[in-house]
Amino acid sequence: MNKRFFIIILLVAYLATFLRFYLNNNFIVSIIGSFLCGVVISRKISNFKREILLSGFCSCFTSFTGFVHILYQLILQGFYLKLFFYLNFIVILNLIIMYIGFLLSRKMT
Amino acid sequence: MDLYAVIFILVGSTFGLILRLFIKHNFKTKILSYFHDSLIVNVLASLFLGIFVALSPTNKNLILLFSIGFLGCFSTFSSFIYKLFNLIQKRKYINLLIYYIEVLVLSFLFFWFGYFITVIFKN
Repeated sequence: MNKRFFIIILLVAYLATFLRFYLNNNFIVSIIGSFLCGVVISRKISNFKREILLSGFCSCFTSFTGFVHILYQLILQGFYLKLFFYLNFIVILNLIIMYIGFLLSRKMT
Repeated sequence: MDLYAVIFILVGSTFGLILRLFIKHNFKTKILSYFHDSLIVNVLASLFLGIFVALSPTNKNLILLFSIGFLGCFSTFSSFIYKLFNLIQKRKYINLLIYYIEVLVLSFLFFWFGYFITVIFKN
């Protein structure tokens, strides 16, 4: 891991963190992150850029703990059936959005 | 947003990112299904979130530092989805189901574990 890689990935992660803080909505953030991730994985780019975009931007932008926190609040309110549907709905929706991003970026090139 | 809030978020996200990269490059072993680094990251992040929720701090800067900065950068939802997508592309549907259940069950178990441990020690 060299110094240049590290500085770039830190700057990208800061940008992603402030974007997440500004949007302040876990649902929208996860959908945008999945779409970007789908766009990135279909492109044939170098390993360096791929690592920065996936591991730096997308991973810092989306957060798993926000997702768990929403589920925790649903448990506290006692909506167990709603919890089950919401959980599967979010994961399947994100998979579909990622596939759409994948296809769109394939079609562009 | 004042300067202190920005500094707290920056410090938290730096630590989160470094820890995640460290785990990604150093832990490659096998647990249950064939192993992926985002599993260990998400499970650890859930444990920390359980501890954080049980402590329920009221200081605004601490929430910014830990919840938004550290945990937000440490845990990653997109690589979880990417792993599922990758398994669908390879048509390994059984592995997909195992991985999906494994991540959700383990992260919830560790969340409650951290929560109850902290509640017990607090009293």
